[in-house]
Amino acid sequence: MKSPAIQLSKLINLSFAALLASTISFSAYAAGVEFSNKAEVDVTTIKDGKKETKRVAAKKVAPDGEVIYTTTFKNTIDKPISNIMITNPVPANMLYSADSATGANTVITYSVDGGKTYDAPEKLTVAGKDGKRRPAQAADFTDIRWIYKGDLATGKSSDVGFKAKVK
Amino acid sequence: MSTFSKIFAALCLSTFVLLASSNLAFAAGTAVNTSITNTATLAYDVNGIVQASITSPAATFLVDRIINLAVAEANGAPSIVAPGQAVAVTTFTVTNTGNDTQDFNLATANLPSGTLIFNNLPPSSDSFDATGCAAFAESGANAGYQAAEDLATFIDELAPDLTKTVYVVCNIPPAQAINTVAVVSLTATALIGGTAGTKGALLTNDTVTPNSPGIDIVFADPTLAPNANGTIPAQTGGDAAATARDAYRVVTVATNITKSATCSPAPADCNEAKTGTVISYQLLITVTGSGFADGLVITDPLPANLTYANGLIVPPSALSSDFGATTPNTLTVNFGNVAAPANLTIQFKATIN
Repeated sequence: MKSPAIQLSKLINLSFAALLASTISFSAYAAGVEFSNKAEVDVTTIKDGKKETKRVAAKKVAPDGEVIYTTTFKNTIDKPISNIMITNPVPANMLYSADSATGANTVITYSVDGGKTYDAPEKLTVAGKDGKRRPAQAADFTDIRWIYKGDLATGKSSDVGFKAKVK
Repeated sequence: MSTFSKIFAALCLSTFVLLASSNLAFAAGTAVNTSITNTATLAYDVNGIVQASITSPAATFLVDRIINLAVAEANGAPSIVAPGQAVAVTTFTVTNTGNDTQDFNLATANLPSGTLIFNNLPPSSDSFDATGCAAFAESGANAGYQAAEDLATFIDELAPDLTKTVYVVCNIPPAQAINTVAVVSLTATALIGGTAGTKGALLTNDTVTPNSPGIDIVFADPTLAPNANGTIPAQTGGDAAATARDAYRVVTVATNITKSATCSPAPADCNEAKTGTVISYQLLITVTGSGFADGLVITDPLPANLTYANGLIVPPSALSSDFGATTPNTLTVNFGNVAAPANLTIQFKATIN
């Protein structure tokens, strides 16, 4: 295994290269995992009387606009990787869209306390205006966590994602 | 990596993200130009050995400018006016429900005859036009329309979520018949903001193409169905404008005073007017018609050679009464605003010198 200092400089260099390559969709590399996160919007245009929906990188979004976040991870080393866990906070000024989190072969749990604890939606509660606990709603979710079941083989990739609306 | 250390790492990162992106949120929508950033975190093992968790570089976008507004009639009832009244005022509110500071143009219109409003308060159908209508924004100095203060003909620099009171001021034609109604409207249109004291130009609704340069302007005002009492007409959305209606209802109020006197010790003494005779006066004020007699004040000078005697009786509704305090040797009774119809009786006594 390489020293942490070498790993760190490699990470920085590669991240910088990724930054140069794209200003929209970023990728990070560390010890053989390619990891990217992108924000996109669906744009509907009417062409020749037909509606066409295209998914494009989100650069600017109006309030109430829905953004699709997709996180992709790929095993680029010669050994399987395991115990894969991805966490992603719902950004400030955004509300999680109900039932929008996806991820093949993953167990998805949610947090209502800024990522301190995660659980299934039906088990989460938050303090209501009357001080009593009430069942959490999608808009209460602060963070999402995906735990990948089993190993990810060499060369394989997978992705997880969710949708959220700008407040 | 143990589950605990994974969670701990995730906790540290998400706490950082929360701190770094704590923008103010507006009920009207996240403020224009706010940068919204997202960073995911990945933890994993190789050969059972925990690897350093990695974070994705940020996926970031900016919040577009939405234009939205709400215009409403202020008090749910027509303004009661008199024939020939100048400075007849109806009151509206304009609220900026967009996510940036805007100016707002103000325009008034008379609605066609037959336009219905305030269905619960008949008569409710437009039957005449008020004249010389103009709209003025409340200056904030003194509440209510003040002709000397409220001079702005557009709303200057209204921040998101804030509401401005707007007055539509008209003249009522002379000899306008009782119980006739004039429906007027106020249309506010969002304008470019940013320069205090200057009325901004019209906004352009950008085609919503997320990759066009600069911040997009998105007209987000909704399509509205008419409301039950007719103060909100049907209107198309997406035009950066909103309209509400209010009305004038003409009423006339007539007041009449009759004065009678009885004398004591005997009624016949009234004819002889001897020194020491006590005269009991009665003033009967009748208010007829519909509406209000505003600021009703009764004054009655005491004739020469009479001295006011104790025994002044005024209705409990009187705001104040005095003999000689407001005007020497004169009875003054202030009733304030009296709803028609009403009968008011004042009694007082005087002694012949």
